[in-house]
Formats: sequence, C-alpha cells, structure tokens
Amino acid sequence: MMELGLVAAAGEVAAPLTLLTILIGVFVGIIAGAIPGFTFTMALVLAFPFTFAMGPVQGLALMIGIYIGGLSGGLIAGILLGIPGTPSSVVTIYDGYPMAKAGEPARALGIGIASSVIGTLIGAAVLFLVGPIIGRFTLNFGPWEIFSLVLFALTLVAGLSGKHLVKGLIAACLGLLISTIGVAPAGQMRFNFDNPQLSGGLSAIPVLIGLFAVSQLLVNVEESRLDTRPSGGTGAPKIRVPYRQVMRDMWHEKRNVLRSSMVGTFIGTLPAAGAESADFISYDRAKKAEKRDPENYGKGHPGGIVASETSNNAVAGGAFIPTITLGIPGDVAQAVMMGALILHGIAPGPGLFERQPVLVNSIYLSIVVAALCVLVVQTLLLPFLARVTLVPKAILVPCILVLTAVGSFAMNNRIFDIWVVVAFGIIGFLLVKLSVPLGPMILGLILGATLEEELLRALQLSDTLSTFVTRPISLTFLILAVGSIGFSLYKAHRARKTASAPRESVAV
Amino acid sequence: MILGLIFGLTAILLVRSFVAADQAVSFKGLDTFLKVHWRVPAMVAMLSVYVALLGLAGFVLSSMIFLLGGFALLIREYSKPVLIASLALATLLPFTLNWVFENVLRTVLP
Repeated sequence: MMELGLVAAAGEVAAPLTLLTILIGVFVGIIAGAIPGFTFTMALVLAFPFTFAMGPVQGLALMIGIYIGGLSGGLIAGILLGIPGTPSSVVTIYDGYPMAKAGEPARALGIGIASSVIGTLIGAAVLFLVGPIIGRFTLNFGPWEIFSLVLFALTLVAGLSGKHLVKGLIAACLGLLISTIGVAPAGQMRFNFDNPQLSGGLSAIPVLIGLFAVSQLLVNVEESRLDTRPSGGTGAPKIRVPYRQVMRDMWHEKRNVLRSSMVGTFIGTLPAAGAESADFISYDRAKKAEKRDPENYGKGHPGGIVASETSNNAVAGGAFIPTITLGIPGDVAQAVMMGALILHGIAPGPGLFERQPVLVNSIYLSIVVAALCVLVVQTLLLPFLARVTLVPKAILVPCILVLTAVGSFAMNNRIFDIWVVVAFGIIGFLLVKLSVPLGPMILGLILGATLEEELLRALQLSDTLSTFVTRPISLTFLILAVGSIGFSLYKAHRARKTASAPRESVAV
Repeated sequence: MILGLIFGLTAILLVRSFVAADQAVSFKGLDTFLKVHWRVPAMVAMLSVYVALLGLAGFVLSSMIFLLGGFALLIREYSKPVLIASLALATLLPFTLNWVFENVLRTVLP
C-alpha cells in the first residue's frame, strides 16, 4: 500500500501547479527568514488562508515550501549582516559572519546553502524510514494511550521551552483553558459569557496569528529604534558562489554533516525543543570533534556553518515525525500545518498512514522538492535576497498587519476574528515581555480538545481511572510525564544552586 | 472537575510565578517603557481603530488609511524613494489583496 501511495503522491507533487506552489512557498519562506525580525512562522500563519482554495496536498505543499525555505533563509542576513534572520540562524553567525568579513561572503553563503539542502534531505530520509514504523506502532493506541501521550507532550514542552518550568506550565494551562471555550463534548456551553461569537470557541488560527505574528510585529515596533541595519539604498554586494570550493568544504566536513543532521533530526522529534537547541548542540559536537584547527571555530571555520545549517534544516524531517504519527506538533510551524490539515478534514495522528497514504507520502516528496527549490532559489536569487534583508521594517510592519487582518477575516468571514487577533497580539506581546514561552500555550490550545475528548472516551469505555496505569503504553507515557516534570524541577534546582554559589562565596 | 483543576492550577501557578522572589516581575519601568516605546501602544490603538473602521468604511479605504497612518508612525527618516514606496504600497496593496481574495479565494472582504 505504501508503494502505491508513493507513486500516487509522486503524481500529485509532480503536478505543475503543486511544483509551482512549492517554489512560491520556498521563495516566500526564504524572504521571511531573510528579514531580521520576521519569522517563517509568521509567513506560515499568514499563508494559511491561501490554502482554503487548495486541496490538502497542494495546501500542505505550500506550507512545507515556506517551512523549508524559512529554515534556510535566516542564514543570508546572518552571514552578510551579522544579524540572525531567524533564531535558528544565530549559531550560523559565529563562523559565517567572520568568514564574510574576511572577504569570503559567497563561500560562506555557498556552504550555508549546501548544508541547508543536505540537512533537509537527510531529515526527510529519516522521516521516510522511521515515520511508517512509529505509524504502525500507534495503531495500538486507544483513548488511554492518546490521553497519556498528550499529557506527556504538554509537560515536555513546558519543561523544554523556557528557563522557567512554572512559566511553561502556566502557558500550557492557559492554552488548555482557551481550548475549553465554546461547546463542551457533552453539549453544554462553557466560558462564552453569553456572547454568541464565542459559542463555537476560538479558532486556533486567529489566536496563532495574534500570538506569533502581531506580537512579533509589536516587538519589531519596539525595537525599531535599535534597527542597526544599513539602509536599503546602499546596493547589494555582488555575490557569485564558488561552487568547487564549496564542494571541497562540504566533502571535508562530511562527518560533521552526518552527525549534525542526525542531531537535528533527533531534536526535531522532541516537541518544542526547536532548531536553536539543535544548532547549539551540533556546533558544540562539531567543535569538540575537530582535530586539526578547533581554535578557528568562531573565527570563520566552514565546520561551524555546516554544523548549524545542517542541523537546523534536518529539524524539519524530525519535527514531522510526532506530527503525522502521533498528532503532536513538534513546533509552532507544525501546529500551523496541523491546523491546515484539520481544516481539510484530515486528523493527523494514529492511523493517518493507513487512512491517507498519498498525503503522507506527499509530505516526504514535498520536503525533497522544497530542498531542491531552496538550492535553486537561493543560488540564482542571492543578490536579490541580499537586498531583501535591508527592506525597512517601518514599511513592512503596517503591510503585514493588514495581511494578518485580512487573513484572519477570511477564515470565517467574521470581523470578530480580527478582534481575536488584536487581543492575542497584545497578550502575546505581554507574555513575551514577562518571558512566558508561547509554544506551550499553542500546544495546549491545539491539543486541549484531543486531551478532553480522549479522556471522556476512555471514561465511557471503562469508568475507572486505573485503566490509565494498567495499560503498559499509557503507563509508560504517564511515567515519562512525571519524569519530565521531575527532570525540569531538578534542572531548575541545579541552576538556582549554581547561581547562588558565587554569591555565597562572595559573602564569605 | 477537570476544568476546575485546570483553572485552579493555572491560578496557583500564575500567583506563584509573580510572588516568588527570584521570578518577581517589576512594573516599575512601565512609565519609562511607555515614554521610550510610545509607538507600541500607538500602533495597537491604530490597529484597533482600523478593525473598527473595517465594518464601516470597507476594507480598501480603511486599509489605505491604516497603512498611511502606520507609515507616518514608524518611518523616522523620509527620503524620496521611501515616500514613493510607502504611497505606492498604501494605494496598491489594499486593491491587490481585495482582488486576490474576491477573485482567487472567493472571499468577499468587508
């Protein structure tokens, strides 16, 4: 069945319109990633309404294009300006910017682009190999296992996504609370405050647009005083990638490429661990594994760029594994893609491989095509993309705010949804200021309904809570949930101890 | 019961996060923040007026007004190219979006 699905998926993805959609997605993603302060997550949520008029495969192809393009696009501003286009390109700067300053910007960009493409392809290969195995395993899941799994994912996200476990848990609980607005599974109305607009609950997309697009735009308005980028009129540097040199660099770093891709893919499978964590770990491993000139790391070593860019792009393949096999988004971008699938009546999670083999295979193929599009677009349009990084935020912010308004309106043709965007934009901005991570909130919002429905189903099938601990898989997830909280508390305790130690020694 | 539990936990954690000495959040700098970053609340106010205007003046007109206001608020140094670009965007973007949504996505905007 998988082989037939792969052939049918190849037919769907190879359709000219789908290929064009992926190409447009990659272009938009690269631009969103290239402009400092604008993220590809923002581009994903803004592109969401455009998928209404598309089929599920084409809609998902657009999203995958933006996702893969965005993961790679951040390297341009990072290498040329020393300002990360996306948080995941922070580590790229360590060696990319010094190499560019030393007169080799084209070589640095070439290594970055090649690493992005190879990292994406390795991540996709792992997804292709591991996804179906986990998919088959999840067929054994009943409501008890799914409930325990969602609980584990929420505790994991809360622990991983920020310095403070408490703030992560607050965010997750707020997300769960928001998900309860509207009609309960049993039929009664909750938290609608007699407002008919709230009867159907809050759509996830306006909330996502508010939290991730509008709040980030407000941060951009706040930081506009500190915009240190050169003005757009200075002209872009003439860039021609030295292909032979880049191929030699990549061959020399082949072990680094493989290791960093594996680290990226693994980190990608952990909900909300993020490409940033993968970058730091890969960079550290690459530096420690370097025998000849480790002292050049941080001064323009090709291995630094390779480690960062392969791992942050390999994250994509890994992040898709929990999304499509378990229905748990690996990051916010995956949450948006899950939203697009749900909009088309497809529920990601256990059984998806059996129900939608064509769609699942089209995900692998779209990632591969998107990786190739990244290579083509970034190589051919490098001078243009270098200019894009200099577009003034003052021009972009109002334009994107109009897009957020029109995009959220188009969901249900309701101006109320735009108010939701504004409200959650303000809430998101305040939470960012209070260092409360937004990832757990989104996961709580997206998974809240599943958590509640599966709990109710489990209690309908067996009216005792002990079933959750007598079923081995469910018990395993519950132990992992408790373990992840315990580990986060231990980490927080150790961090506090380490922080207080120097103070005590000073006092003595 | 579950709702009560979620609400209770959220409330406890929220209070605890603000009460805990090492995580205390200070709002002392709010005045300074608003003085330095007055553009942030101004932009939120403009956005709210824009949403309120959408139902009254329609998408194209209210978007033009919002874009012009937004550019006026955020652009610090005017030059001829910036002025031309902002005026062109304020005029063309609303019409283009209106056309795309109505003719391609079959969504009638306010």
